[in-house]
Amino acid sequence: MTSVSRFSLSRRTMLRGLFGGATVSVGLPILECMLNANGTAFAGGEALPLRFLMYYWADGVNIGQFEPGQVGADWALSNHMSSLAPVKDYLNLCTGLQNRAAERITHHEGMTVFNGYSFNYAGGLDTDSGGPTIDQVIADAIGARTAVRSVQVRVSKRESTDGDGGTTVTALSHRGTPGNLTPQIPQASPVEVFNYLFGNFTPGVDDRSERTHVLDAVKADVERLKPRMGTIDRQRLDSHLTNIDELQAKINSMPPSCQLPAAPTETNMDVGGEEPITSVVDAHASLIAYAFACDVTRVASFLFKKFVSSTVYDEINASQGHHAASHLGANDPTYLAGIPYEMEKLSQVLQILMNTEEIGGGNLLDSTIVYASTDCSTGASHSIERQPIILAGHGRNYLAYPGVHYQATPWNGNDNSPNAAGNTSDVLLTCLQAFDPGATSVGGGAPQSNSPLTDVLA
Amino acid sequence: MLRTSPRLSSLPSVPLGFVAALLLLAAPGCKDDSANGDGDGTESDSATDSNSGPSGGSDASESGSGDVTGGDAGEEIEPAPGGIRRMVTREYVATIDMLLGPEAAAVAAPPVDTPQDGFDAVGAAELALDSVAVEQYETSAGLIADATIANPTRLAETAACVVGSPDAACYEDVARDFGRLAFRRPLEAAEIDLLVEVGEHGQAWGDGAFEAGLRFQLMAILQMPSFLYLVEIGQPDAESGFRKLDSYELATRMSIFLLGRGPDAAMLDLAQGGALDTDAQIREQAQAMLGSPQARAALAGFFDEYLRLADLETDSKNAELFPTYSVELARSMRQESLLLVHDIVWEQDGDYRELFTADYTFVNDALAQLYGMPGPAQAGLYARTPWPEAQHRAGYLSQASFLTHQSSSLRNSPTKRGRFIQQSVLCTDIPPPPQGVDPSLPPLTEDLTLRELLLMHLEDPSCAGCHGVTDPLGFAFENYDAIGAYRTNELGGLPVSSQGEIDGFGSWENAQELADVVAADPRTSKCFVNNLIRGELGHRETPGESAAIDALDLTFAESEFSVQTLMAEFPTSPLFQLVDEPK
Repeated sequence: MTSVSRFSLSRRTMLRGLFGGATVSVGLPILECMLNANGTAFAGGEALPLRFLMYYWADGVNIGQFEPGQVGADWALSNHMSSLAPVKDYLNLCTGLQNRAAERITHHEGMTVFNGYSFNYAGGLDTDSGGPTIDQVIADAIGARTAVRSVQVRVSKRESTDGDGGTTVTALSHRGTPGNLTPQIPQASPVEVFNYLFGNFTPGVDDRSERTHVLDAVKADVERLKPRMGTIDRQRLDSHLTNIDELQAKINSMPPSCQLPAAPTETNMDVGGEEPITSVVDAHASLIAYAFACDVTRVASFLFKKFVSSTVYDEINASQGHHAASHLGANDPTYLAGIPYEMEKLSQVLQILMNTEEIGGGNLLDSTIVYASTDCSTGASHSIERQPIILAGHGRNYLAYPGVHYQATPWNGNDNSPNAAGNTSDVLLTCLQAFDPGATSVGGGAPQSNSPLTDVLA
Repeated sequence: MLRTSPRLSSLPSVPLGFVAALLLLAAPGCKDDSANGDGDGTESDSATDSNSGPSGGSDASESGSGDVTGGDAGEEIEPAPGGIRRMVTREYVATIDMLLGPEAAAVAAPPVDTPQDGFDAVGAAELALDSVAVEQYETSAGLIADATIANPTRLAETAACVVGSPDAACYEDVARDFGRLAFRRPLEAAEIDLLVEVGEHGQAWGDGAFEAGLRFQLMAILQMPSFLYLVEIGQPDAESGFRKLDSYELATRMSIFLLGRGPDAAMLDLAQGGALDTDAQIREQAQAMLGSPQARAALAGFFDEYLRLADLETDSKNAELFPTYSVELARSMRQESLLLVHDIVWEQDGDYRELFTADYTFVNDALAQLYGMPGPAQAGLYARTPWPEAQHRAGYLSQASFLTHQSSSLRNSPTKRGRFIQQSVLCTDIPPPPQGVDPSLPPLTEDLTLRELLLMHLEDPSCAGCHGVTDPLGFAFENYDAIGAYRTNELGGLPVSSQGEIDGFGSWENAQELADVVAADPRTSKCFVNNLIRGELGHRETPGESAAIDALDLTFAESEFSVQTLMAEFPTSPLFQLVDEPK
């Protein structure tokens, strides 16, 4: 069974900004003895936790209004990114990079920026994910150190009505190896997310020994069935076994040393036919921040909206779905209004992290690397040239702080046929090396990277 | 012409209670009394009627068709691989209801389904469970076990010892007898020993309380792959050269397909007694199962997926343009389509193609208002009502559920509507747009209709390849806006045209005429068979299954496209009974 380490916060810490915008104070025990003399590592030598959040918004941007005019250290937020001002110092922006996916069928190839693999075509508008996403590769490296390996959340519940299918669109995060992947189905309801992160720690009858024993019996049944299956189903049963192992570890992990957050009441049900997006973003982000601060998990993925989904941004009175609007051109008013709204929601998440204090001082953006991107540059033409990548948080001084705007090549001014250089996967490798310094590559095939983007490093 | 002449003299009102039940029955993941059909005895009744003894062989000789199962001799098939597929949510809940009663089903909380190829069953056959799902199964098992201990009546029907003053020996009864029902086959001795040990271990933990051990024993059974996954790997079959489902696997596949849940004890007895060995026996049993209300719920569940009805409630519409659109209206639309299916399949045992040609529909007050039709005589009820002649509507493709879901929030979409017909009704694959093509339409201007704009689009050869086979179909519905209301002009005032044609397929002046073309196309019934394979067996049809699909489609045609007949015959097909090596 996987052993689960635990840590405690170094001093009485206030977690702010949690749950519906209300200020919530969470008393945390003082366990200075667990840190070294400088408070820079655990007494046992283990590094203080570094966290990773993968964030996805769909259907691209308007390049002209999104990319800042300046590059390097002295850059200003663009019009569409202006809502990120409160966290601007924590941002490293990467533009002008080429997504090197081998095939294109609309939107699907854009998801290569999250894994560094080309999709596997499955007919029609169906593709299957080509390889594990970066959050799951990072979780492979560090997930066993916490009670929960990783958590996946989703805001908009709308699906594609255009027939997009296959595992690429099923989930943002994919775990495993190429050819043997398990989509990590994101939870839409913050109540479900709470149960997954903290439900195991709520007081109750201590039946951990029996739950563990029951799961041993379940594993025996899995093993009994496995030899009779072919390769694919054996892999599925192996995944089932792995998850039972991890559930057993979770059941037997020690509760975190912080108080548990109050269970959220937001269930992400439509209100009057409209999605409660801001409330759900707040609840999801607050739970992730709490789980990071309490070291319940160190890896999360955040799916704001699926590509091609029928999501309508009702909160800004959008007249139609964001994806439908994207195909009316890069300058369609509904589309143009939707992009700053999407950045505002990303900013909401980042501010919740920034407003949550971290062990040893600072806040969660000091100890987290956020990798945020979308599935195309110009939505109307599904271009995968110049897909923007926003890095947020410096990850314990790993990334530049204040951050820079790295631009691989200046824009040619053409929305539907933009130019690009370099490789978006290089940014994935940069992130991976923060968690696994020995990593030498990310992805496979044409999009594979063996050379991290160093321009954004501290 | 296929247009039906239904009995329009009477317009029966459908009780609201029935409507509510139908919707609940069709709702995936519904934990109300949806799975609590009163037809639990169907299999048992049939067992009594048709299988007084374990052999059942006399049935075959009586019916004069004592052919061996596995399909007609000489029928070429290379079956799809065997393997495991998870029970989908609605199957899990209905199975818990049968096994442990409605109280247990009410608290069942399995993971949400993850459809692939448009169907939950395909996702359940292809995807591995993630950590959240495994944990949700554990939580669900605990809740079900607690509910069962609070009300053990149904469990006691299988393991009588659990009520009264059970002793430790009862763990063996539960493992053996309840385990057989849950795993849909007899347990091996080692499996029984394992489960008894779990019970005893839990009892010791619970200071000797029997219920403590029972709770963990039930939790173990309900989390085991033997329960969660339908195991369909068969045995080597010399006749076909492939593998043939054993009698328990066949009984399970039949129960899941026909009743939407695992087999009951009587069905397992039939399997054990060799009473599912011939096609005649299988057909007779399937026909008996079709008499159950659960069969109606199961088929409604299939159509909910096939016609994308379950997704309808999450569609958004522009509130200014469509102020009457609401979740409640969307639910009414979904119900309308399910009622049409119900009427054709169960009330009339009619021609499947009437789904596309019916000159009537079912409306409540809200739908009547939407369509501009007379409302039902009794408020709150759905009434079977003829389509207004002037609107040229026919069948499902004129119903608001289709017209709404295959539209954007702002306007109708001939492309989406046409694509659904090509892909889901005719089973034509539509390739993605060629690389480098900007798929965006030019802006809609005041002097152009949407149709005219799309026709300009079609002049580009790189667009015409796909849009040439989708958009003309969609033009037939230009008289219906993005929520299915009738119109003669677009919002800007320009008149709409519903004319269309596709070389080699047909031409039409309106939706009614297109419906006739669709219904007459031989691909339509075959595509329905394909979708049954996807939605029920959990895989996309394979080239090796083609001849067997043709044979089943022929049987379907010979029955004048009776869905009930198709459902009774499907289990006799090699498509249903044979598998290749496990995947």
